[in-house]
Amino acid sequence: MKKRQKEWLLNILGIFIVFVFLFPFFWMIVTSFKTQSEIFQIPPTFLPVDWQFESYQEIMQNNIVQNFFNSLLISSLTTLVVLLLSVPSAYGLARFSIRGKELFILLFLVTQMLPATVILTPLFILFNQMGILNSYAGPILACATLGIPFSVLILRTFFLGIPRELEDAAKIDGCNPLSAFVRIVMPLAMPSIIVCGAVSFFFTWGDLIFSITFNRSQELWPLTAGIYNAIGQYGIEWNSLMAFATISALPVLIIFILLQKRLVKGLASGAVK
Amino acid sequence: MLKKLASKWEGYMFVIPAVIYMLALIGYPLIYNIILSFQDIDLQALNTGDGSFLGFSNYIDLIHDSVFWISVKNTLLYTVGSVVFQFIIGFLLALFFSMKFRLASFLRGIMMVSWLIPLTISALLFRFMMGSEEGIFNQMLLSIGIINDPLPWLTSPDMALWSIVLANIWVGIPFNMLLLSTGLSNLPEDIYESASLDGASVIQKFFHITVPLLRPVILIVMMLGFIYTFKVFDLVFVMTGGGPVNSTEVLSTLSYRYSFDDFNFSMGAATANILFVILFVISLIYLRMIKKDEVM
Amino acid sequence: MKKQVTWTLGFSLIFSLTACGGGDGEGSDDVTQEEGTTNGEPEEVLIWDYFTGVGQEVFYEQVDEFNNSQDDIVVKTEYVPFDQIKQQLSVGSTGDALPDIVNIDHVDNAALASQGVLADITDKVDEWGETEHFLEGPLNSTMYEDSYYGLPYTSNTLGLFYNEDLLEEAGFSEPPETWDELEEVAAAFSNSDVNGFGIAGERSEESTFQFYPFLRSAGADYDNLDSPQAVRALDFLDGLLENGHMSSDVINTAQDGLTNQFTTEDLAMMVNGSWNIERIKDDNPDMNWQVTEIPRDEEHASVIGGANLSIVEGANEDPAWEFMKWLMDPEQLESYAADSGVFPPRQDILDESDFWENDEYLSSFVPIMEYADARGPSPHWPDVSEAVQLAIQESFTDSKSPEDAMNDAAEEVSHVIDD
Repeated sequence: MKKRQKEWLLNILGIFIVFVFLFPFFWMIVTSFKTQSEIFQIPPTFLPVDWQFESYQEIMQNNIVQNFFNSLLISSLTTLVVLLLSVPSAYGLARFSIRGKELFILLFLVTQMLPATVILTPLFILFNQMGILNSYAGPILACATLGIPFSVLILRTFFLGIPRELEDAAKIDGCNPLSAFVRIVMPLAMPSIIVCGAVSFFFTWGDLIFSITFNRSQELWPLTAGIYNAIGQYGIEWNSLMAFATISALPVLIIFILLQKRLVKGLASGAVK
Repeated sequence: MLKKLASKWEGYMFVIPAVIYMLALIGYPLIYNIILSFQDIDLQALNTGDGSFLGFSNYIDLIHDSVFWISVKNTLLYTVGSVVFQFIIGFLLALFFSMKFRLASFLRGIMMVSWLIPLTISALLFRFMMGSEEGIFNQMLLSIGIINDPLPWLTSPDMALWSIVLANIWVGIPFNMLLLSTGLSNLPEDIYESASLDGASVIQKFFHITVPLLRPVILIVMMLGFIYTFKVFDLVFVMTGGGPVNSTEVLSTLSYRYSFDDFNFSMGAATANILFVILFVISLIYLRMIKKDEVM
Repeated sequence: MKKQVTWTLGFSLIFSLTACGGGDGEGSDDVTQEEGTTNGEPEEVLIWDYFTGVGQEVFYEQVDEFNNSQDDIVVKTEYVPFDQIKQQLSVGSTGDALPDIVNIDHVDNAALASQGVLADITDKVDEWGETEHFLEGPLNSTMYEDSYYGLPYTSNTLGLFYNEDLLEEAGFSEPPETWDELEEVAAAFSNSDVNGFGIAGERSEESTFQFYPFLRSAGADYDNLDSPQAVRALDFLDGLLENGHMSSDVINTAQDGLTNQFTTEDLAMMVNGSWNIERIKDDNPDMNWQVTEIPRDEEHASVIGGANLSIVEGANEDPAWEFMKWLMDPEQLESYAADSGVFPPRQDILDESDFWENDEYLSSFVPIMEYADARGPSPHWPDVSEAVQLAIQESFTDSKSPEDAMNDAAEEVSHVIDD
């Protein structure tokens, strides 16, 4: 009996903690449905008294569809670049005896810790010389540097855990290392690859600085840049800004809910190792 | 023998593309940054392609710039403040969720959302909640009676930095909690059982078993927290833009401002290099720490 | 009829220009696209605007109207925040991402011209021959070294907006006339949820703009910021803030933000401009409010504001100019100015229309316009303004005393002007 009571208590306490912690999200969504005068009401209302959807209509006029599409395009292409480069690299580092392996691993570890602002100025100048300012290429190339080290390190740990015998058996059947990798190892690693893909997607989805620095043209801007710009346009029309924020956060929430368990596990193993 | 050589070569084929990519987009810019910082590159020089060599004068200007020292101080205060509190709260939450109850792992997982959401949005949310008039923080504190006048969260130079620290703690808690939870779940249970038999209290067990055993994880979490917080940009950029009156300027926003507000790319590069050197040293310490259990 | 002829002439001129310009201007890799660049495709004109609220809505409606009225030019708009336009123009010049037309604060026109960002359109303006109808002050702001680098599009000035009901409740039937009265009325709100008074103190041109009437009223100007009068102006506003008659939020507040607080009746009095009238009417039609002169110290003072339109150096100049001419036509300009609550910078419109004198709110601004002062024009204005902005921020945040802040600003300004 006592044990069950304790279980109940813990569950309720847990829900309370999570609600308090995630209150900013709740407040964001609620505010997006309030009228301007209700937002400034004292005392504030917990739920909208007068639900309105005009904030969403208003921001729809504001290029947000284009922003959304850009975020999706930039994030997807970046994820593709990250996976194409990091999956083989992680496998190579896990399976082959390579001279300078420690150095390579060190390279990925160190680059993972670099702030974007350190490489921002030289990349801006470099991209200017290459003529790729104001294109999707700038943010994609730059954002991939966030995802690659992370993915290489996580996937390498995972590949180390796959028994070598599987590939040896495939080689006996006449597979070369590449086809053994593609046919045997890749399918096994798919869950981890998806986690790395999702994380790279999140990293890129959240990028603001690369996009606003490399691209002046608003037609190329992702949601984060759009919302930053909108802060001035809407002044303190917080319902519109919160509607914009809600739409920007939505895909992250959806992907997270779909992949929750795997993501949490993947993040934990990647960060510690 | 021949086969072994071939497989060695194959290994490089797998590894090298990603390495080249990172060297081109991180390594080269880092070196270029050093060159830039000794030159005088502004917008015109950028378009014409020639900048004169200045030697160390950018660095000398920098150390004579009072805003630079404010940024250094702010970056350190910001980082230490954030790391300490997000660690303590993250640890408490990890301990709480390590108790076995039905919703524990689900609830713990859900909290990760605050870490994954774009920082621009988190910053905007806090900017909204910290408004002096309509902000919910002041509304709540006023109604409970903790304060009598609205707090100037982001408008007072004395308070703004700590307000951003608060937002950063919120963003960082889940990450700390997750790593510490993983560490906790790997601790051997039998030690606790035998300690209980010896009559050890919960607090004794925590300080004499949990903390010593978790030491490696704790150090790694604090180091990573330090590294990730030290490079803060988005939160400051969106919440205050470095103001009011430079009171929240940090090294990364200062570097950005030199380069992209004043178009003094060389000063921006010099500031970024100082940021890099500090981070690099800390990264080396971190690497030494994890090397022990790294399977190389 | 006559107009139509000029139109046709104008267009055929553009076509002949672009027909030959297209060939040698394009890179060699465009050979296959050659067909696409001839007459069939409409020319694109990109404009950056910082308008917000009604001003933006009406402007975008006019853009649509222009686009629908002909098939040769397509105008596109991008919103760029007011405080970022100058920086974005510089960044854009590096990546080849500049607009064709840019909407700028008139005080920045000379500075941007001196930096080579804007195109010299003197020939076009002279050929057009309508400058005699423009007001002198706004037109002068477009000039740098005797050449035109833009045209004035809107003019405005600042007044005191006050909520009649709130003032009445606090026991005042009349708005404040002097600084002392302003303080008295604002003080009456100290213990309520409503803020008594607000100005825009955001660190951008907006705060210099809003401070200028107080500076002038005390008898000072930007070239003597260390004078006792100038210090007195800042000290007065700082005192309102210190005593809680003005929210400390003003240092992050822009004029749009003030308007929102005023509209939701959380602010009893504010300094603001005529372009926000429509927004207030739309968002809170039931509120009783009025506009009057900004309370005075020595004498009443205010400041001229305005937006200019300039063509960017290296832009698609001819179609851009066509669009600008269309906007500046009395017919278009009158409806834009009237619908968005600003003053047209053309005397001929003001002479012929009685809209401004009869409008319930705009009419209050007519006498203010008479004595309002212009800032500059000076190519150094942005630097002068930055010094003033910093002084306001420093004093409002208690980083410095008003006197020290103003002395430092004065020193900065003297450096800037000497250079």
